[in-house]
Amino acid sequence: MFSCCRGYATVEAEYQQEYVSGNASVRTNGQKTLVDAVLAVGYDKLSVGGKVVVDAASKQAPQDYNFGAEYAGADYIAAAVTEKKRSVLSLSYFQRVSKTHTVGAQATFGLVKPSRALQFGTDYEVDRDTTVRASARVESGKDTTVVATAVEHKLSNPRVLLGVAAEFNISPNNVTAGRMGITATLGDF
Amino acid sequence: MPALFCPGSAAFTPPLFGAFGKKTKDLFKKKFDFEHQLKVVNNNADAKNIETSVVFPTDKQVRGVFKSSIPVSNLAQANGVFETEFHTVADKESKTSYKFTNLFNGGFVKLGVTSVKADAKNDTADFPEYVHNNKPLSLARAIILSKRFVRGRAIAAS
Repeated sequence: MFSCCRGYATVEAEYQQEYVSGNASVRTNGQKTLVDAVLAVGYDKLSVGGKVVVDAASKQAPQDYNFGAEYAGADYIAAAVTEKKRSVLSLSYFQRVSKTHTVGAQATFGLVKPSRALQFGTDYEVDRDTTVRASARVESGKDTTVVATAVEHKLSNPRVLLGVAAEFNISPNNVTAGRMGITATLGDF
Repeated sequence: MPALFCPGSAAFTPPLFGAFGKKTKDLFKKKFDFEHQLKVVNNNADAKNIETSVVFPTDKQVRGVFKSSIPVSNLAQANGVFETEFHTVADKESKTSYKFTNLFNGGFVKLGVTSVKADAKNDTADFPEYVHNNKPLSLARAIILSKRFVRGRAIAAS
């Protein structure tokens, strides 16, 4: 016989028009039914929005609820968003420096448990076939900085997209290698 | 599409709340694949998209991933896109859905089934599972049992 699945059946509706975008979804696994509602309103490049997750069977407070705002300029985007029941505040900034170069930064602050993290990233298109990406992450309470790099190169014959990503843990005393991966993509990448 | 990099009038379509700050987050996440993988991507002219990959993690078992997006265009009002994503391990979320893109302007309705990631190691798959003798039936066990069944039938027939 079939046992009860722990997966979810979902129904989701999304709507985007001038000034407003929203999304509502219902997920159920037979025992628990979660309702998500997301709404964002925008005017003149400024958007504000929020998300609430409610357990339909519970009369208690919503399971999760967050708010945020984003401003999208001509070549930059700044955003402030709360996460995890408003216990984390994330501030982010993205800048297109040139047609081939972008940079970004994100600062995360713990509002309940004091914690801070700062992350920088950059993406540079070396030529038509090669891109280089790098990021660095610093967290309060940790003396290591995690630096990650990724290089992607398109080969024309055979047609393959090759990617190599590597991570390094940098502390005041030493540098240790972290994770690394090699990716080969064939076909219509 | 959100009005990113489009200087213009006061009227614009805001991004979904989930996409706030996404460009920055993508800069830290996308392309950083710290697992060896081989991927085959097939994009047809009629927007069919099929992607198959084999991932070779250093500390876990090899896993396969299948993703597809197939537009349906002969159902009039019910036209849409059939999307699937399957993983061969239980600790990754597999899902399948049908997106009705023609029901109203500016949006869609999506019906789907999503598995829940297994929380613990050695947990069974999250899809509805067949239970045989109070044991969850994995694909490998199902093959063994069906072989036994067929062999038993063959012996009985002879």
